[in-house]
Amino acid sequence: MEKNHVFDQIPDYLDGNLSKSDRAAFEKHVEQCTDCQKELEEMKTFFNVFEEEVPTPSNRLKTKFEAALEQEKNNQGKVVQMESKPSANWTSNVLKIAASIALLVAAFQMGSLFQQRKANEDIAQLQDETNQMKQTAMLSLMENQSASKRIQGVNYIEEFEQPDAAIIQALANRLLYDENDNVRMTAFEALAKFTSSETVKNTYIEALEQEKNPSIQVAIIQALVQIQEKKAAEPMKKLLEKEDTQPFIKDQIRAVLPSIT
Amino acid sequence: MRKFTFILMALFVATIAKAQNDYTKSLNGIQWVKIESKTDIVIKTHSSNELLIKSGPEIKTPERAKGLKLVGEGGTDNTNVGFSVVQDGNTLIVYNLRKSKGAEIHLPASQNIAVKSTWNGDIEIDGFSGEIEADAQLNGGIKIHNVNGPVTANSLNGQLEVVFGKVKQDSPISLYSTNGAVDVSLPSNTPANLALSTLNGNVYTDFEVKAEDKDGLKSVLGRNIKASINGGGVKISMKSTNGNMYLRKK
Amino acid sequence: METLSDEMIMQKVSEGNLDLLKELFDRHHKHVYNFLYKMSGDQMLAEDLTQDVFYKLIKYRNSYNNGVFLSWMFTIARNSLKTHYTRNHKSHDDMEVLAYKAVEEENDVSENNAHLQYALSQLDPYDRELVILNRYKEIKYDDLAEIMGSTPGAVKTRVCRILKKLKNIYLESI
Repeated sequence: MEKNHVFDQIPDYLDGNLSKSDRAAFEKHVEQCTDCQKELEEMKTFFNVFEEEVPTPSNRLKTKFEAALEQEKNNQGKVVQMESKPSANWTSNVLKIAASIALLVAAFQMGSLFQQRKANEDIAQLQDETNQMKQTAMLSLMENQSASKRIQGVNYIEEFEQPDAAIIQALANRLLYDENDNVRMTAFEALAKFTSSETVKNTYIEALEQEKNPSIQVAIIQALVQIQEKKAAEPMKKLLEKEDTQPFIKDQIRAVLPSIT
Repeated sequence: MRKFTFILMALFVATIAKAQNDYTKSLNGIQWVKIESKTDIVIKTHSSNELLIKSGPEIKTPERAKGLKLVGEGGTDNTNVGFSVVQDGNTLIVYNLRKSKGAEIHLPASQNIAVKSTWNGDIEIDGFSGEIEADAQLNGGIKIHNVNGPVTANSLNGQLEVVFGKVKQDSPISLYSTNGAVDVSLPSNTPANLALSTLNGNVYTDFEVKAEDKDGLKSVLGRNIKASINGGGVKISMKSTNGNMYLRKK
Repeated sequence: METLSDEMIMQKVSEGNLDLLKELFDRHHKHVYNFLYKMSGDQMLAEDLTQDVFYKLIKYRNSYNNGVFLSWMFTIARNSLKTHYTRNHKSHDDMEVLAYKAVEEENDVSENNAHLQYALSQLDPYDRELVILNRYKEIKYDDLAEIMGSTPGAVKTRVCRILKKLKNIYLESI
């Protein structure tokens, strides 16, 4: 036992790099070995010296660094934001989404760290980027082959207080062109919060003209009546004339039509 | 080369003979199987990684059609069981060309499936762990049993019934019907955020959603209900415009 | 994950968000300075070279390849030091001949530090570098091996040996 000195493990022990079992064995040995005790004590002292702060660099360093950074920013011109187009290959999209979401999570967690620092502009910047990433994730999810994933993308709207035009347009396209009824319905619901937008109103009217699913038809009719959209009267009248319009839709239209004409 | 072709032919013929005219096709490289049918369609699991279409009872080909192929909206019968099967990228498109007889299709349990019934056909799906999309566009009903989600299903007039095993949490579930009932069973410990809505129907559930009792299940007043169960989790959205909604603990 | 990793931040920097470099500067400029100071024993030089390292991070941000950030940063720091000595010491272009200046004249350096600097000066440059980098706990043996162009196993054995040697020199000197 005496012969099995643990000198080689001392640095790892002090740095806390030993596994639990190695650590126990190490401590057991040191307890009964004076050589190793001495070596351990010496190394500990030495490590402390090593960790002692050396003279700190002057503030000049930081000032100069920041000046250099500012200059570089000016050279760079406007900050280039990444804007990824949904690619045709959806597996790569999934990876991109995964990456975006990982970054998202990280960016959120970073928020609290940054608040403690006086880096307000960074927060603003980061916020922008977070939105950008959310938007990218949302837009690419909405192009996914899976209806469930597209719905997930549409549901992402809850993350945005003031979605920009690109998002509204993407949701409008889902409502107008998605082949899956559930996705169209979810897109309708997502847009319902933004009926003050002209794009949304026009999209609803356009959707009402071409939508075949009665559940979505009736939902759109109710939404348009609620905002007293006069332009909705025409497509509603057309639906009344169509033979294949469900009776309950016709009833609904007859009931509400007077209120907007 | 000719010899090779010959062996291939021989193998092919042998396969057909062995499978008693069932049709099979490998699913290597296939992400989604899309099935469209006007008639009843039953989809079950099996253990091999291939599509199998049961030939079903003998179909009488009219005497005049001898030597001719069945042609329908979806394409030409290239399977000899009344189906057209075409690969498009990572998707396999399966059309049932027949207008009267139902069909039984077997797929591996992890397969992603999208099924569409365009006329009166009922859709029955049992035992899958992949993604499921089902759309009964006219009068058909949908029964989806022993699945883990995500499920996206929609019916017009038929009822929509889904019984879940353990519910996957990664992607939302969406179950809509216009005139049919929506009847969903979940394991009682499923974490989920529920959104239940109906325009002219009622909502019944034995999950902890505020309501008053009615025949054991609770009828929930108010027609847009949002509730978290078991601490919240995957989004499950259920909607029937004119039908009732039943959400049961399994 | 408690905070955003260096790698993620640098990734964002390389995509054009230069302001985030401030965070990396705050996190690491002392480490870099420390390393350069211990290597050279010269405060002014350490400060100038630290400056240089961060200039290079700005300038070469696009060449960041998503590897371990510390490895990348210290590789740049080593190169800066090397370049400095190459310029100022005529024909020598190798770390092996890096001249070492003792620093007793620096009056704000503690006595312990002076002894440590002396002990470090007794090592050959490669060993000195290895041991200084090893003392930053953030740098794993794998990363250290990458910086020094060796294997983790070899680096570990060597670090152990040097630490023991260095400690003995140090203790003898006080």
